[in-house]
Amino acid sequence: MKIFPFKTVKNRSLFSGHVAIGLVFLFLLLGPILTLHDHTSQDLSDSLQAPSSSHWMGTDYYGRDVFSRLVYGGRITWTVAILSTFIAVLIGTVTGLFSAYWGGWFDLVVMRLVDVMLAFPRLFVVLLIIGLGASSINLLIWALALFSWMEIARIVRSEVMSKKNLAYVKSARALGFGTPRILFKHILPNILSPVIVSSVLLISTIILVESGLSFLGLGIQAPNASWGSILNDGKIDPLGTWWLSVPAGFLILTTVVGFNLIGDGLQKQFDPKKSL
Amino acid sequence: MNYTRQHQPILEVNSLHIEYPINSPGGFRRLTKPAVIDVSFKIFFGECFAIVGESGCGKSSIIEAILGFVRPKSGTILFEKQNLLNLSSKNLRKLRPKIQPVFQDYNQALNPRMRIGDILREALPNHLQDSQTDQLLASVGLSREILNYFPHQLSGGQKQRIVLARALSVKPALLLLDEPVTSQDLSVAVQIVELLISLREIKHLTFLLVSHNLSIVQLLADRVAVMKNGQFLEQQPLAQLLNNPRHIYTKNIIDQTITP
Repeated sequence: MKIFPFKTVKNRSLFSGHVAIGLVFLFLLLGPILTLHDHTSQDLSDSLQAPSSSHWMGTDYYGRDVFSRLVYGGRITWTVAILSTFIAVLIGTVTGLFSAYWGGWFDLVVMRLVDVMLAFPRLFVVLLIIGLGASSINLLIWALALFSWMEIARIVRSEVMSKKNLAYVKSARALGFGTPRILFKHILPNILSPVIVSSVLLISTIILVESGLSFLGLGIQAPNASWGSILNDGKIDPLGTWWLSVPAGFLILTTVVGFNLIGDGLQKQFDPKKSL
Repeated sequence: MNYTRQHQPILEVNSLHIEYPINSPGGFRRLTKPAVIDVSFKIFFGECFAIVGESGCGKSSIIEAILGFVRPKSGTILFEKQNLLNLSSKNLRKLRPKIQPVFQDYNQALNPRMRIGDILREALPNHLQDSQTDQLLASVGLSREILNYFPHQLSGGQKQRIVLARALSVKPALLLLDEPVTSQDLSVAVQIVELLISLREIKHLTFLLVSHNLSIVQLLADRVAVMKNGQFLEQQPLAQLLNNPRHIYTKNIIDQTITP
């Protein structure tokens, strides 16, 4: 049986991941053009309608169009995930770079901080921060980012440790170049592969955490939507109001699997020793 | 070259002692292993001073210390009468271009993500980049086409020539040659040695050559020090060393070189 239809595609995980993420991205991009309904406008007379020609994915308890809520909710989920990942990767990369390159007491302090922060379970700390502060998208993004940079810092540190004593880095030092130039021009471009892979995997982790938080009612607050909060809407009667939970769950699943496949695919792509 | 300058030391290493930390059983005590023990030597302007010894005897540690990559436990390293070990990091950075290394592993010596042109231009001032790049390539016997290549597209000999060209781009006074031709095949090694001889003459360079191979040292060096277990056993002018070795270890190295 032919499981994979494209024989010419060597890196199947990367290809499948791109297809999955590409489809979800198209849905989020073109969604507003396809729907006439506002994702926040309520119509209680239209409450909990099953999918029909006027509401393609039905309506929720307040009569809001689920299709447009999935589109706008997805945009928020993706924005939160991508921005948090970006901030986390930035913090992790810079700390990892300097920690490994300078070494000594700076490295010791930074790495113990990483150990301490990794000891906290991310979901519960983020829950606490959001619970204590006013729940906003900005706070959510920062809370997720500040508890996600440590893995990246560790990866970057170990990569820099393996590169900083290579002859081309020593030559750059001997030419009189300063630390920032050596780090960002000579070392960083050569350690990007594992950073990119873990960043992509981090996006899917953060999507899951954000969806979990919103499912618990602590993430994105009404009238805004996120896939997690739409899942939550469907939890009272998952079978009776399947159009609330199934499409949101499917989109979360597709996105997470898609990013994980891209991560796996990139790992294979960057590793010359592994056959694709 | 100016006579008086020729008789001045460009580099003077006195009582150099280098130690490396090693793991102790259980990791409770801080143990060290000496790599270089009480090494002293002078290198004069325009000469080639060679250190010969087996792998792990501490030769490369001396180069690392001169470059400032390893902090010696004691001793002084005077370059043009300035003690490199007392310089501030800012002053050391300013002085660094005058001392350039050429490492053994040419495959690791060039940034794999940079084109050859960018590697050569990097240390040059903007307004001189094009003219000087051409001159540098000509001085190591390579053509302009190579500028757009990445290091992995070059042969071993070409890479080592680019390493030399990059070192020359900052107009150094002293080249530290750490086994410069060990990883090359014989014909390429001969070409690189010939290139080094001509560069030394044309650019008035001083060499510190480190090698385990006396046949390479014979082609380049004026004076030779023989090193074993972190210590200098003897240092003499090349001809004297070959004809009249004082130490049995030196004699063994010479015998091995003549009758392999």
